[in-house]
Amino acid sequence: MTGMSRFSILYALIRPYRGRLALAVTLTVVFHACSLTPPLALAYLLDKIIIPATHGATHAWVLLPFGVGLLVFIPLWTAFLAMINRVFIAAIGQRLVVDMRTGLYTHVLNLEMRYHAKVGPGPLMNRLMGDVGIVQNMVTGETLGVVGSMVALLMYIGIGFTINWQLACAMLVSVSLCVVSYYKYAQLIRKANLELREIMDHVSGQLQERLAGVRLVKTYCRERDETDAFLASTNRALETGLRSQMLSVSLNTTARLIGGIGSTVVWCGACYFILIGKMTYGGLMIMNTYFWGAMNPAIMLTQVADTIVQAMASLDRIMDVTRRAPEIVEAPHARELPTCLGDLCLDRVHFAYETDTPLFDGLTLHIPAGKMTALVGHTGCGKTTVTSLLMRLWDVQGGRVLIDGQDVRDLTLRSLRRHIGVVPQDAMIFEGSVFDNIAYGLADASQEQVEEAACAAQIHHTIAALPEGYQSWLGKGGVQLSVGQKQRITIARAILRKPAILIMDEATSSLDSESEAEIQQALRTVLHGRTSVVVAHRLSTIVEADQIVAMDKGQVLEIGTHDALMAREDGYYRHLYEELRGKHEREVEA
Amino acid sequence: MSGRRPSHYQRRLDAILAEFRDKEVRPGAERRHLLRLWREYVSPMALRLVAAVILTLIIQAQPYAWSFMGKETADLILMVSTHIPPNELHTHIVWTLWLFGFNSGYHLLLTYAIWQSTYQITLIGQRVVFELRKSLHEKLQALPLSFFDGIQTGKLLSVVLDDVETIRQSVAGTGVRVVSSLVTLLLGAVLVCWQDWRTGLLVLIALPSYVLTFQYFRPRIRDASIAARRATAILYGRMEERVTGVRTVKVFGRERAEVRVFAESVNNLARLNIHIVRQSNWLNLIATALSVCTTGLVLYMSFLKVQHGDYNPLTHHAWTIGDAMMLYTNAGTMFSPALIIGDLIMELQRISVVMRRVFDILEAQPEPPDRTEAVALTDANGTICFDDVTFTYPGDETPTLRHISVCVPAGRQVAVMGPSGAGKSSLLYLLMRFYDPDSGTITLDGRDLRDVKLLALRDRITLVMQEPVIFSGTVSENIRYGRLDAKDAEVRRAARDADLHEFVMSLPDGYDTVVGERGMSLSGGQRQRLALAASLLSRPSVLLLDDTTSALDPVTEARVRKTLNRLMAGRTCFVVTHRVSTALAGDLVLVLEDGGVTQFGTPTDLLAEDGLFRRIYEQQQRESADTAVTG
Repeated sequence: MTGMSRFSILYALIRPYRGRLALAVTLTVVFHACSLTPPLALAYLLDKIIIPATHGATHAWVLLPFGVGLLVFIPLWTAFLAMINRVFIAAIGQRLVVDMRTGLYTHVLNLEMRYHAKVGPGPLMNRLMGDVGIVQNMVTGETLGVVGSMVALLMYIGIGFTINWQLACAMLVSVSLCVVSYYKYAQLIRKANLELREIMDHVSGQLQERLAGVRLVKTYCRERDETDAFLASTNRALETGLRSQMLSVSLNTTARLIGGIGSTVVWCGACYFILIGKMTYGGLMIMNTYFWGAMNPAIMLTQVADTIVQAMASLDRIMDVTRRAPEIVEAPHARELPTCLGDLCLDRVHFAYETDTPLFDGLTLHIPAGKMTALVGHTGCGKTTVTSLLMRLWDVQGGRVLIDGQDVRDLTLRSLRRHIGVVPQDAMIFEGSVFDNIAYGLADASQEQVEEAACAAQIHHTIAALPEGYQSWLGKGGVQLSVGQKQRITIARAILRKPAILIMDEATSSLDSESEAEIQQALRTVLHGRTSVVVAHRLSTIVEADQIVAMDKGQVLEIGTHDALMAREDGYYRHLYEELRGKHEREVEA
Repeated sequence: MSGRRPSHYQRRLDAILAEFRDKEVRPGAERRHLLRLWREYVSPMALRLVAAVILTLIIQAQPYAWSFMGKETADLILMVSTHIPPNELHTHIVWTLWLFGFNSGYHLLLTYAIWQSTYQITLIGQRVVFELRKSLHEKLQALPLSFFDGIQTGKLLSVVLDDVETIRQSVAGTGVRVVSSLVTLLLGAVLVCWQDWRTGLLVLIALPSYVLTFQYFRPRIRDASIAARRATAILYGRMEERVTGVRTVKVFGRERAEVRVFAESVNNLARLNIHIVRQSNWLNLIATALSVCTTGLVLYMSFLKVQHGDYNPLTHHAWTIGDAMMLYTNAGTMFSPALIIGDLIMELQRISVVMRRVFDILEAQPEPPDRTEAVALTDANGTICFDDVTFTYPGDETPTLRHISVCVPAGRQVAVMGPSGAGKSSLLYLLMRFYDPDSGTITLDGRDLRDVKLLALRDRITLVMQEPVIFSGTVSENIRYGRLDAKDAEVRRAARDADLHEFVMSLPDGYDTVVGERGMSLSGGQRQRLALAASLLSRPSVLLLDDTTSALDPVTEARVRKTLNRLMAGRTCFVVTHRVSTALAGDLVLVLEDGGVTQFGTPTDLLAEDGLFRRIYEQQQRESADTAVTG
């Protein structure tokens, strides 16, 4: 059943190129038909010219230049066809790979956060790089050629039958034995390869983490231990690799042995038939060449067997990704949200990251338009999750998330997210210029717009002071920014789109007080008239908010303004606030 | 041709080639790398290699044996040039049977030789991979952080995994094939000359044209394959960034734009690959033409000898059809390695490119080794002095830290404050010796950091980063990263001190819960506390906290701080912070602005000064007062 879907996916890939592919197959057939002819030319030369000539028909010598000429011209022509054929196959193969890569990448980017959180970037990168690469090897390597030459195999055997049926039978038996041994080994090889891939997944995941976290490794002087651990898993991978390789070597050797014995049978059989006068010497030459002509594709097939088996396994893994339909998709009737007031509402929301431990169990929360709402509560109470649900990075399992009274699932994703600006907890900077990083959210942003956003985020002066200004390169090998600077770039990125709703997730927590104050000032103007949802820890932010939502363990305990909430005797927020302020004052006094 | 304008396709291709062209050509590097690969990784298995080569020779000699058998079949068994007398027919059939037996035995032996030689080659490949990965990993661990600042993790990953794998596939295989091809060529030349020196001469003249053809195509194919590899690496790097930062891509609705950029790069890569196929195709076609024409000529010449009944000194009678066929087959066989040498050259190009990337890492400058007089520190009081320290990040022009001179007595808590980008984290990195200063010295208990063994130094000083790294593994494995031999009880105590225990106990598997990429994802605050627990477990003399509690909510932070103050009593502690309250609770405050120390002293002293510290204090106090009023 996986076989069916595998081929249907392959077919879907191939469909756009079926015309050219058909042409390539035709060319392959023509090419192999031509490669049938050189032995015929040699047989002609021997049987019709040389042997008669040595037996007295000396006039036959006249034809010698012609015969030799055939032997030069025909292989040349065949090689030329082979060349055209290879370019064709390569071109089609490359197009297929481009499509597969792009398709898979598009799919991965469209998959919802739940999937990304579960699978993680390491294995996904393995699908995108390793597995696609293996499939590419199959499609663009010799494999297609070998599969094409299977056609030739049939022709060789067919012509063999016209010359001597007994010997042709020997050919047929040898080739069949080859195929049988292939099937016998293929299962084993596939299993060993699967195991190998799994180990390699582990090795690369481990290595990637360690390389990314090299500071931590150095801090604790774990260099030796890390190398030992890496070598242990590498060793395991190599042992499995050796096993799988030797399996395919055994398969290949078996095929060659079958070929060796088979060719001896054909050779000696032909000698016998010549001796009893039922065959010519040229016929022996033909049978010998054709035997190998038929066997070589069969042997090559076993040689590329592990490429094919590997590629099929890779294809399976790629399909595990592509088969997985994005959970968060636009409904067919999805509407655009042209303008947005910014009225947000969570209506009896049920949500869980892991299915067995629900975080929200019927959470209801209203975030009024144009107001600033602060989410407060202890670490892990679900503040960040609320903001992710508003953007529909995750879908709720029950209840609804409403924006301007419309279910977010009834809106197109682009138009929904177009109205929301986000400053995430971890500042994400891509390799590229400062300009590109700020303009990330708005493809056709002008220099003025970017500078305006940068000014608002209090980062303009820092950027202007860089040697190349807005064109300075960020990321590895470029300008190194401090965490605070990175965060201000993400703030600029978020406000560049002038969103109706601004979500800030602990955004200002690691800025120094001075720049934080500057940003707060700027944000006050930027936020004016916008809905904002702030996951805040600072007293000033919380107190300034139009609405405070005090949360604990996935539940909203209290909602209201600071004054209203403080008025409650023994309220949760009051308790939280006293805790905060008490600490603050204690420290100021100290 | 000269007047023709380059086609659109050609211009496009040239642009791609130029974009990815290797900018630094280092002559001689190729040979040096090959030599090094041989000396350090392959030569320890020289015996296996010799065995593989000998076995391969036996396999390579097979076509010549076959052609000899063909000749004997034609002349002796079938007597195609003459007639077999009818009464001897039976004998000839018996000879055929002998031939069958002999040949079958030969093939059995040959199969064994093939199996053995492949086994040896595979084994050599596996060992080379192991040793290479080992050296690479050791090297990567020994490299200074400045190396990692300049390289994407994805690129390193692809060197250690993919490139080494490429070397495995070809190192032994290609080496053996090159040797055996050369031997086949030589053996063929000897056999052909031995049979007829004039034909031999003709064949030997044809060979240099081969060399010329290869010389022409070689640099083209190499350029293109280097470009293809670089394009691939860049593509992977970008892809990794986007897959890791998929949240940002989604939030900004950039999926389609990302795909467009990606498709463009993938297309360019495809163009390069097709270009490589084209080039190697031409090479193949020309090589085939040369070989076909030469062997055709050989065949013609030898049949002329048959026609004229020339005397064959080897067989002591006239040239037979068998002789002619053997000469023809041998000349053909001799050219077949020449044909695959084209592929081998491509293969070697690929390896040399890959090898360069591998050796770029192996030859990179490692962290400077410990000085010979460096001491192993078992304990430290924790007095830390900076003496006129200036530090510039490698590749930067302006120094990040300038003339820092500060002395911190043992056991004090120092709050490091200042605007973002002032060099606060860099100061801590210098203490960890992630980098060494350009000038000036840093001393621990009066001893230059560079005079302390690196392992010992990092055992005494521990850093907790602002955005801590969590490895895939259980919670307890991550905490135990601080000290591998810690007992369970100690791990729990460290977790309690970092205010993490309660959270861990709420997890499904407690301390055995798998976290990180393949497990539960943790929030910023949870990660910070986990890292803190690991650092507490390592019991350092000097603790460096790089804004480590920034992602904690104030209540949790206050709790964590209290335990920290208790635990760090008597130990030196540098805390990068933005919260004035933290600074006030400490012994000393160090204010960094634009890479220089502008203020240093006790919090009370600094409050009396007119400076950044007072400004921050006043601002934060105003906020606090505001809240008090509104409250």
